[in-house]
Amino acid sequence: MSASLKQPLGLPRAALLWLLGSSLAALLPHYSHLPILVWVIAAAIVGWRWLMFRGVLPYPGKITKVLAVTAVAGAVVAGFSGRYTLESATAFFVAMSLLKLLEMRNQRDGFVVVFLAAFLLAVGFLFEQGIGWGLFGIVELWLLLATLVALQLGSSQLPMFAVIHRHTNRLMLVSLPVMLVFYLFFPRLAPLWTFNLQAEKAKTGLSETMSPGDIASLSQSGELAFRVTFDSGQQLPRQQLYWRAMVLDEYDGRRWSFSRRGRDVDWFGSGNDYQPSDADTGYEIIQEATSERWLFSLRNGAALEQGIGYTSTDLLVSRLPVYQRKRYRSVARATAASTPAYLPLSQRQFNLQLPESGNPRLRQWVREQLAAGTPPEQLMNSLLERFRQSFVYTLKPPVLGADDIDQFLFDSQRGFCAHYAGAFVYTARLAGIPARVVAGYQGGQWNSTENYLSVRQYDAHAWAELWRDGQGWVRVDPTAAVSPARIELGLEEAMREEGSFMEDSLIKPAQLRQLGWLYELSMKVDSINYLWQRWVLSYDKSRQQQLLQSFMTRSSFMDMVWWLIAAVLAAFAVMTLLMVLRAPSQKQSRIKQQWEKLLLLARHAGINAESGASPLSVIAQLQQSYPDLKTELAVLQRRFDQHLYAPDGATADTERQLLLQLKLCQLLIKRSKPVQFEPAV
Amino acid sequence: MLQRLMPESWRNGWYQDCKKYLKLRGQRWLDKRIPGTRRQQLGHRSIFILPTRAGLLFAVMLLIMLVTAINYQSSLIYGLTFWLFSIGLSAMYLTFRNLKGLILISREAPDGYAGQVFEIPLQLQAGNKREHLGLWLGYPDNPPRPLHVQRGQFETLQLSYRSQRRGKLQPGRLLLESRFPLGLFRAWSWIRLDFHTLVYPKPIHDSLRLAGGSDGGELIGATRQTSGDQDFRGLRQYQPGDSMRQIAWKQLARGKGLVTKDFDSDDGASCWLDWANISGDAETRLSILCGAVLDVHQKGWEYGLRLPGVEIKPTHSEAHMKACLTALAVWGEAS
Repeated sequence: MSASLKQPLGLPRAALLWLLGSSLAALLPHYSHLPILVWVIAAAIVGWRWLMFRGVLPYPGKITKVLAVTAVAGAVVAGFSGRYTLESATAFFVAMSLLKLLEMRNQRDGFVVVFLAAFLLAVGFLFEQGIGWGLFGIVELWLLLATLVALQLGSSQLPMFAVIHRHTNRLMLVSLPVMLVFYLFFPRLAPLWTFNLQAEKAKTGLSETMSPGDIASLSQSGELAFRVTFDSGQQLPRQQLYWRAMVLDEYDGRRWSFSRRGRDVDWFGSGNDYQPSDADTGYEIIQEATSERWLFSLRNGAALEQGIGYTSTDLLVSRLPVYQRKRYRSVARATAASTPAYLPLSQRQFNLQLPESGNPRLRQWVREQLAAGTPPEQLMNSLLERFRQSFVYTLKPPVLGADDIDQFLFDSQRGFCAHYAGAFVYTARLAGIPARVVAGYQGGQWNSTENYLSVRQYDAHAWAELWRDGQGWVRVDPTAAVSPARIELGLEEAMREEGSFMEDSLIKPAQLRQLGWLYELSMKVDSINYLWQRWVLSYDKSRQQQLLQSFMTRSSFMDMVWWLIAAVLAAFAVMTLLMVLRAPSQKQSRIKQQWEKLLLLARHAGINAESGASPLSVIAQLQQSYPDLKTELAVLQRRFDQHLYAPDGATADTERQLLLQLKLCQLLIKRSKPVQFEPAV
Repeated sequence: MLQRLMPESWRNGWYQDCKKYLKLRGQRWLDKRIPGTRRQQLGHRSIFILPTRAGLLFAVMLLIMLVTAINYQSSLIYGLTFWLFSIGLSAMYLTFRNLKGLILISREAPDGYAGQVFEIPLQLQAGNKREHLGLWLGYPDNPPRPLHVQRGQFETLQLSYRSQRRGKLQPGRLLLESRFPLGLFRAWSWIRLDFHTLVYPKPIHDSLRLAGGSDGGELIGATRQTSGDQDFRGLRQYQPGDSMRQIAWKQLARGKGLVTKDFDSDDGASCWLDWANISGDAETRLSILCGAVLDVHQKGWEYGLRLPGVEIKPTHSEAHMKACLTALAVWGEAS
């Protein structure tokens, strides 16, 4: 019963162009990471295939194929020096798909090529996720479907492009509703297994160690770090926007680093959960991928979601590295969860830890001050006072040699936030005050159309925290003493005179701002990107729950599954209904009614005319039986021809004429007697 | 596969029987579901649909894409996967719809002889609202034909079918299939179209036994090979149905129009082709008689045909020959 026809399933020539085009387009999202080698291979293979298409080159033989596969595989593996990363795996996959493009020869190969290209498009979304690439995905999907349609049409006389266009558009539009239901309601599961295969693309961003000058290099990057929306929809004062990422509490004489020592993590759901309060400020962050575990939060944060923890050093951490853009909620509590009266001894010692020697002039100065009876707090204030008076905040600090803090404090007096925070914490520790550097971002740009804050890499910042018994860790930002503008207005304003803000970029933000409409436009584009991120890219499990809760009282995994099942059943029901309801209509047309009447008359006269027979054969039969009516019947035949098969189609006019003639013939047949037609047997 | 594994005796024994039985049941079920007619409109009763191999591969790819989306928590890959899934579902409906409403009409093929390849004319007609693209149709074991029927139009094509049986032409079920638009699903239908075309017995031209005269006297072999033996009566105007051998070609060449040589063939050139005078099984007899009808007709004789239960009086005309051949073709078949 399921025997199928032995169709000659070659690759139609018209479909070949579609195959080449759609496969190449699938490579575009990989532009940023594919090595040039792969592009060369792609060009060579498409050229080869083109020559085969033109009949210049023969189809590759077995040996050629084996050689090509070995050469290409070897080249790609060697190009990545055997490293196993998402990029190298993708490049390998791309190269193999390209070889398939060369090798394909029948319709089944065509399917394989299209499916490979679809998968390449999916993998491409791991590298590119902007709204532009989302739109590109729709175009590429269209191309792939069109290729499949072209494969089915084969080489025919049809207006190919129009037919492909019509059918592909219909397919994509008809499929939208079910796709949306699945997108919204399909349970977003946690990763099934942890993947080691991740992009190795160097990410700009904070590093876990800080030496003077590190953050200054970040300030040249306008790349997005994260976006924030506050529950209130209002912007917080800039002085409060200290986004914590890491606590750098270990010093080796040159660098501050993130030790993670002496910290406990309270994972969400471990019983120590946050109790909501009206005075707190809730906010939501959409963070770009960092490949690190630390997240961003304001002071006195709390973990509000599964997989997120809150540390005793007042930081948020994620259980898994943030390889993809991540959305999470947090809260800034009005009061700290608990303020210990004193610092445990081990932590105290750790936060006082310094190398034995180095920076002799500073050591000397602190020793003298303390010997003179200055309280340590006083000493720190006088340091801040010195910063305020004679220091310069600059993105172009001089290069410092050994004893860099001495050189900075006593000679150059020019530095960026890392210099100030580092020197300040060093001095505090010398004076016997437990202190640490906090690294993160400060400020951000407020978008007033969509009410969100964009924090970019140039907002990276470092500040200090000092321990005060009874008060806990207290934030002191020495940069604010040197350059209040940096905190209140942002880096760009602070660097206005120096002109060093983003000086390497082609179009400086300041220039952009002078062209009013261009600035407006860039803000609009940023808003669109934000909405795209918020509603599409970071649509995840908790967003899904929010949505479900908005129109269901109880939301659970099972409910979602039921929704899905209902959706599929509904889709099938609609399809079945369409299939059954659109069955040929039982209502007969007027022509059919009259025709049947005529046949009935003929049958009464003894003419064997089946109702299924074509008008042509019946009329011929009638003409034999009624020689007198030959001309009238011929006219009827012509009317039928005009109505059914006319090149310009049936019109009301042809229908009317046909009906008239039918009735006339009925009348004539009723009146005349048939000649007895003797069958041959 | 299964067949190769089982012992020889099974393969020829019960397995074969089961297969035959199932095939018969399948045929009966089909006959009930899609009865044969001269005009068949495809509807949901007559269309079957299943995923193709490419469709299964597509499903595997979707699964891999879904796992990728979950493991990388990528909304865009989720979106692409679900869109493709949804497109797969729509393709199922659209493949079905591509066949639905299509009308197949059997046209008449000229009559022929058993063992000959018939070019069977078919007409495929589309409704005014729908086009039917990427169709393939053919009789099993014959090369299929690709076809597109555009909106509101019809296409005629001729399918080859070799008939070994005399009688009414019954080419069996026609397989019509389509994988349009995406090739992920295959929709097909088995259609039985009825034809009025007759298949005459395969003519056998030797061992001619003829019964001569109206009295039933026996003639063995062809006693008079040419019309020259008969008395030439004169020329008359050509009438449709006259034998080619009687046409006066010389007159035609001289530009005197189509003229027939008239022979006085009343006596001796009349014969009976009689079933009873031939030995052999029924089909052989019919074949011999068929050959005889053709031979005798070509000689321009008057001839009659006697079959058990059938008697056609001797005369000579094209219509007469047709009647004789028809009688031979349908003899013994339930009327």
